[in-house]
Amino acid sequence: MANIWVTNGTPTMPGILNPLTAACDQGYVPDEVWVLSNPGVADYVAEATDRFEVIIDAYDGDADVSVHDLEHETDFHGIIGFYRSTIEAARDQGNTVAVDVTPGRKFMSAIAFQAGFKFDADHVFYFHRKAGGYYGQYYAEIPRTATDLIDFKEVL
Amino acid sequence: MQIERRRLVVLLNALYDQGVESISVKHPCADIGELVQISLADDGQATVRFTQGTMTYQDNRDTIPAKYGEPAFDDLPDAETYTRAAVASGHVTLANHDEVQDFIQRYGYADLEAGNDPVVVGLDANIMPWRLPEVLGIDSETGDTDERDRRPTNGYALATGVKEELDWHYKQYNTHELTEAFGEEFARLDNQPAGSNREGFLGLYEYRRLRTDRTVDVIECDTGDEAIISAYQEFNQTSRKQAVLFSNDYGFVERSIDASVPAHHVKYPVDIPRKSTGSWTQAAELLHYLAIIFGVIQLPKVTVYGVWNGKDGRHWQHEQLDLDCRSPKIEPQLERDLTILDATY
Repeated sequence: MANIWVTNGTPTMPGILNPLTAACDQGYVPDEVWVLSNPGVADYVAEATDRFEVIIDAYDGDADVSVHDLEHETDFHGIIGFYRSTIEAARDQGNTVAVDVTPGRKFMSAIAFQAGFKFDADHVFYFHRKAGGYYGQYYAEIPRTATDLIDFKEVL
Repeated sequence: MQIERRRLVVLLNALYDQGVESISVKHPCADIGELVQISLADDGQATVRFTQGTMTYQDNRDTIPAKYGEPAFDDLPDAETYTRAAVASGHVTLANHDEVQDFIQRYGYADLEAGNDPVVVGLDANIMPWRLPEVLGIDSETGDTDERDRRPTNGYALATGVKEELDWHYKQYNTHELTEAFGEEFARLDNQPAGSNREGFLGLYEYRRLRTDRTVDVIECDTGDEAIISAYQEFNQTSRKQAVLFSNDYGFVERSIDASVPAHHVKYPVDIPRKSTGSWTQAAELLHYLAIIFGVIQLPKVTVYGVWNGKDGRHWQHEQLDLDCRSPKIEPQLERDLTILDATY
């Protein structure tokens, strides 16, 4: 049974990488990563791809990273379709699937959140910085007690 | 393994993950013993308990020569340096913090759009190591902006005479006296700056860091207060910039003011408080300074070397410390986190 990580692009690298690092740190090391991209964030997603692999490797994992490109950022049906297909495919194969709602614009997070519940992902994660002053920094160098990885599937 | 100053929170995270929430920081010599205790609290807060204040530390240090001889005594920072390190971490405030802020209110926040001269900071040798402009929030890059989005200062004017005063290069060749006094850790300190020279190195590399990372005017002059101040006086008269000076030496400040160069005295507290709460980042800064000025400090599971026999100019430039992980679980975690950070920056 594989662990799947579903997320989307954003123009800050810690925004993409920190939730995944926190999840790895808590034992959820993905075997597959799916990233939703659009023209505005494509360069950042490309840069993040290698780094996903470095992080997962550092936690003794070995992941395939796949990017799903949208032509327009506001292709809402495309966004919903991405989440539906990745979550349903994971469930059909008996895999565990986590949706990360942290990165991206608000509508992205809103859709990801709703999709995570509606299509029944196993986890809906949000990386919360509890203390100010660490903007732009990476998980490993932010005090452990200043962050929280929240699983909304456990909260709601 | 080595770790950069700016990444020291990684070490705190590793300790925290291993269940160490209260970090006893000790000098290897039992006669000095615990210096501070850092409690890692929620929301990135850290409480530092200064086990021995300035006075107790001074008393403890004074027992060293009779027991272990002068070289051991000389290798320990004096009480003033110990206090300066505590202030530099941001955990302890200057004794005249408010006066310094008033001085900056008066001379800083230059209105460049209205044609005011930019204000640049000059630092005397005795405060160069301690990154005070950043601690005080008056640095040209990181300082607090006012309601019109102006920084308190616009850069630095650094005197070559000050740099020369920091350039001591005295090295420790005879470590066996230190190992007898303080422990085996000090065998790794041969061929490294000893005692107060480590403070000099901190200042020297801070000078270089400012030259690299900030807008800096270099003021050519000889060593000594007279030469340095007269060079600043000429700079203020000819450059269309206004240098303001900070020093821990009253004579330097008085001489500057007499020469019409604005200057303010930086006054350290006579003793440090028993307890202070700040951030993990500030606690990490404190560890950095303590490791450098004491040469070696012991934490639970990890020994931190501020100097070691392989430390060269590049290590100083990158502000690296050397970690000897005494617990097998800490090292893989540190390596993992540093690998990730190396790949992400």
